[in-house]
Amino acid sequence: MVEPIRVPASPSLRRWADAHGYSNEILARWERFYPDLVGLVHALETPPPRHLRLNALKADPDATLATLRAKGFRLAPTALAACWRIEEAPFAPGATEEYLMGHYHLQDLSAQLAVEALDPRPGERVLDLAAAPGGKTIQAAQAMRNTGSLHAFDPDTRRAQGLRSNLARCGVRNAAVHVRDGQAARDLDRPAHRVLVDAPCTGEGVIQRDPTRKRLHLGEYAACARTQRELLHAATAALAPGGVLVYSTCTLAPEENELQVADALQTLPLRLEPLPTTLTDLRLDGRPLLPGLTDVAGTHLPPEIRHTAHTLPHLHGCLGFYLARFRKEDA
Amino acid sequence: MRRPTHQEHAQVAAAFDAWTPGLLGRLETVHAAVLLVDENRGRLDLALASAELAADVEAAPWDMPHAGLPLGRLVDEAWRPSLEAAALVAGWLADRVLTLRSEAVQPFLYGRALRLRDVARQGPRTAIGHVHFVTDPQGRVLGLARRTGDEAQAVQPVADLGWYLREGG
Repeated sequence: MVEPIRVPASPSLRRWADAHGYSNEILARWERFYPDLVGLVHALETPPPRHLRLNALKADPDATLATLRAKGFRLAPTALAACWRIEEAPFAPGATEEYLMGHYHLQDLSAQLAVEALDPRPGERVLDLAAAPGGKTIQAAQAMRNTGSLHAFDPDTRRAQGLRSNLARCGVRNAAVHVRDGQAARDLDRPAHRVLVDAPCTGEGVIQRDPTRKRLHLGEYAACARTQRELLHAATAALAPGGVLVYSTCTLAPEENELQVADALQTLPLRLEPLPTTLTDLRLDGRPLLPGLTDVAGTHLPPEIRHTAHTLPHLHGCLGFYLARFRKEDA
Repeated sequence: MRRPTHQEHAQVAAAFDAWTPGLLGRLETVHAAVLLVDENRGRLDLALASAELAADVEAAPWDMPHAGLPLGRLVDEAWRPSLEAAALVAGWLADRVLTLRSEAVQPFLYGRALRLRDVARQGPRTAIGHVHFVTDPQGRVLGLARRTGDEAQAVQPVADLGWYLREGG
């Protein structure tokens, strides 16, 4: 069981937290764990960059780019081939005919790293245990060229409806949507080649989109960590020996990231792998991904946790994200 | 969802043939996919799925009603295409296409009925009372509409891409 990490906040930090609407605990923890707290908070107080991902399942990517530019969109390439940063939009990017036709979908660059790490291949069986609204599922379907089978789980009926709608809009025909908790994946008869656990989390990395996350209390970290642990266990049970499991979150909390990974290494037949070179060679805003923390509040974690990675808003020009890639031990 | 029986597959194929001969087979071949069906209150819901997904659906420990790409449904032995099916087949069915003038695209995507003069071109098999594919001037599918005899509301939307914004979630 993961206990929340308590870091006392200095009086000056408390004043700063009050001024920006954060709980004391959050800023104290970030100051302890991550570089340049001032830069981080400044980045979180500015509107996040917007990205889109071109969908080759429905349209030629170059044609889509040309059409959007002709409509007045200014798009800049990123380090990921199909991912473009929206620098200027004459109107809402989600209201174009091309969006409605599924020629692209809106997805932050950081979120696209999870499926890059998972690296699904055509013909495989892949599970997405917390799939709604479907951006990562669509990305996986693209990588699989609409072959193989993708099983996308979400327990919420309304979110699952949105997931189905997005998959249909983007022309995905290799996916089934299950209105069930991702833990149900352990009951599937056929083991998966790859499993994605993009886990529900406290969402500190997306404060730019949801400022309510500024006032998290310590109990929320532990609650999310419990759910994440259950999903990791179910994912491992559903994974074939030798299969790949990618665990990701959009939070900065070590309880949900490195400590969760360390617990998985101790309790599950998983070992950590380095991320694919497409990610280790990646430069976002000129910087590599930040390695996972191996020293968390005085607790020394296994050195291989440095194979996990973070994006941070003030370093990488995208939302905060964490990912880890595991391989299930052979039987 | 499940694979259709031989009889069901023949029924669906016949319904697709009414649009153009061999349409279902062409869909399955071009996309290397298979038909899935689901009985739903006297009608048959249709989907197109990868072969591997179809195999998983058949081996599944629970029902999987949301598998594959929705193709529409069979009602009274007639095929009612989905938006997604329209995107796949409209290019093969030019004779059943209504091409809109550019200024009519947005109103159509808001679900509004259009006048006959909003239609720039119509295929030779378009007919009053029948459902047709609707495209923009570039030939990209916007939805489905019924042609009526009312000049002021000659094109009645049946399904349009704007649904994804209005209700798709």
